Amino acid sequence: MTAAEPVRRRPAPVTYVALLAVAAGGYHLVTGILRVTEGGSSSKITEGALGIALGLAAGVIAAGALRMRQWAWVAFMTWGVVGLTNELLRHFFYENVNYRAMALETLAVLALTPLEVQVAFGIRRERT
Amino acid sequence: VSDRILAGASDLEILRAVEPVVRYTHGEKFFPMAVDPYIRASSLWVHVPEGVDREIVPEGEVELERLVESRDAPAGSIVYLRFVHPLDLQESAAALIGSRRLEKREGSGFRAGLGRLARGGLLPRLGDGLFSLSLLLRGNVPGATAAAANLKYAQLLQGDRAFVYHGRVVRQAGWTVCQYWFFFAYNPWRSGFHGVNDHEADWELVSVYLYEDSGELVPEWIAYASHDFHGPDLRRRWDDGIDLELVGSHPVVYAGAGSHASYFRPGEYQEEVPIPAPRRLERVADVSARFWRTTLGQPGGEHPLRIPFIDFARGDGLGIGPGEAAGWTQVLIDESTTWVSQYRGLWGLYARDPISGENAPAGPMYERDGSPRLSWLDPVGFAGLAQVPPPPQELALLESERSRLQERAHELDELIASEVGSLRELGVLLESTRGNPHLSGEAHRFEAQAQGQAARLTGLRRERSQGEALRESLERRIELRREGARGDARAHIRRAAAPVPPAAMRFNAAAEIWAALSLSLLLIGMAVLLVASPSNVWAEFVVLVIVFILGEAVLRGTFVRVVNRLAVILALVAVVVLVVEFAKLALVSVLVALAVYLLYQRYEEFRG
Repeated sequence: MTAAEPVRRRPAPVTYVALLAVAAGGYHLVTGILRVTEGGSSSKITEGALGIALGLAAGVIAAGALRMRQWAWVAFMTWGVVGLTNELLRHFFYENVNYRAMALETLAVLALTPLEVQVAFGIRRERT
Repeated sequence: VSDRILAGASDLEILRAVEPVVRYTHGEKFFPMAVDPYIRASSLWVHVPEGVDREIVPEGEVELERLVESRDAPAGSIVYLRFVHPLDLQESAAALIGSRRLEKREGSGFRAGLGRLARGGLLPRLGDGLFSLSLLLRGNVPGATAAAANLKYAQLLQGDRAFVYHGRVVRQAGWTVCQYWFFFAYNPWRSGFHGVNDHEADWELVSVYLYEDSGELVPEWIAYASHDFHGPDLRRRWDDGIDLELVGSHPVVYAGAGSHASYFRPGEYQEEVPIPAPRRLERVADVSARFWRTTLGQPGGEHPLRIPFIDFARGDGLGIGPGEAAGWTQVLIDESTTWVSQYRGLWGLYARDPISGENAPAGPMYERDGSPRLSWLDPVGFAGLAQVPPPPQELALLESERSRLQERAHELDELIASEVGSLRELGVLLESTRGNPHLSGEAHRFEAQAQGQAARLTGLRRERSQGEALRESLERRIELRREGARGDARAHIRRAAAPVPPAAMRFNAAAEIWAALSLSLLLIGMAVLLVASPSNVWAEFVVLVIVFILGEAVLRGTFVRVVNRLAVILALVAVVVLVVEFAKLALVSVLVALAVYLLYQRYEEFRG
């Protein structure tokens, strides 16, 4: 028998970020499914499949965040690093920047950064 | 009690009674020695500003008399001893081979152990690499000097292998201070132990502070000179069970390998060495480190202009002192010792290093610039003891302070009563002017006077209250002292050097191999990108660095910390980008948000 995990109170920003991820995931999922069902060239189907995968991943991470799982926090931050690197590089060196995505990723990272959020997720153990 | 010494004992007896035990790290090559053989084996030089260095006295002819004789030299000149003469290529090669053979014969090789490279992370290692490169630009001790010094030192020891401390006893402010000055022919911290610097000659200091009680001297404090620690942080109380190790009446010192810095506990210490930078850059670094820690509430936030180095003070090598494999030879010194007071030059090579790390130190009495050394001129103040009375004097001082406070309290009571009386008189006068317009001038005057007196009265009452609180605290301390309680032995320590826990220093072999290769791989990767894809090279550099940082974090088990740090840095950059890119929209959003907030507030007021 394993010891029960301590019940952690979910800070409000975590809920907002999770809902945001659900919304973004839902969007990717729906557009992905539509693309796959439309058929067409193999690249379009691949794009659709990627959208479905992204949507599912966002949903799983959001569910983890709502249940205050450590891995969900790490996944969000990793997502933030990858996404922000991509958008910032596009901004500085290339074109087609998605500023909306950049803003959302920034919001998500800054919302999950405060000490109390990290403590709530069990990322940091002490309030020092 | 074994650690008690008669107050009338000679200086030598006092020194011997509490002389330290020093434990060195296996692999240490230089040990405390007498200055005479070193001087005789050195040459004497002068560095003239904007000129060449000139030999004044050749090797073999330097005697104490010649060392201290006065010489004419232009302002800014630096006189220095040189233990190893300039080496040509052939001599350098011979020295390196000879030193390696000697090391093998004596079994005195040093192993840093797994984890040395991995413990710093990629960015500190990059800083470390740049620091090493800076040695090419700064003045530094030439490559084979350490090996040549090692051979020469071994040769000197063949005649007389004595381990020497230069002891000084000084009486100041009720304390009897025993200073143990250790002289080393060479400091091979960089070349031998992956440290910060190498320099010819090294002086280290350990001080024991004793007080007199009933005709006996009792040790109370001990101070070890150490990197980056000052004042009270240098000293420990004799009954400090956490830091201080005693062998009978002898404190134990753990010496850093090569650096010879003194530590209270054995272990491996992470030292942070500041990178010399313009003041403005220092300020930016300070502000960003504070912003990271305080505003963002993030862990870490190490100063970006510091490079971490390790000082190995394992204590697993030779021990010198009572009960150890070797004993001390004592040499008494004071101001009348000519080489102490009359030689203001450096004790080894002046390497022309602008940040001084590679220049040899001056003697016990002076700094490198010839000014008096604090530890010599004010040994009590050096360890932050100027405000600490010796224990037998403390109770009397506490009682005298209590009496002074009691007297002041009586004075204040009388002053308060008098102020209250005169303020009331003023109040009566002020009240009598009400309703009399022709007395308005008087009324203003009385009012101003009353206000001034009232403020004074408040000040007196505040002083009375604070004095009472202080008196009560003194009373409690007097009680404790009378009961024989000592108080917290570590209350004075603001920052203490602590060895890094072994778990934080040991990484697996993969992390260690990666740490050894990563910096070179990163540079090679950059070179490949520069050739293969020159059009997008900056963007690819960024991706490459991020991939390296994350990969290393996985190997070192610090992924969560690193990904957090990276995400926050990228988010901050993104905030700046978004604000710049959408300045107008951001301003409009802020104004609309402000307007909505104010409307909401007014609505709440209206409702409530």
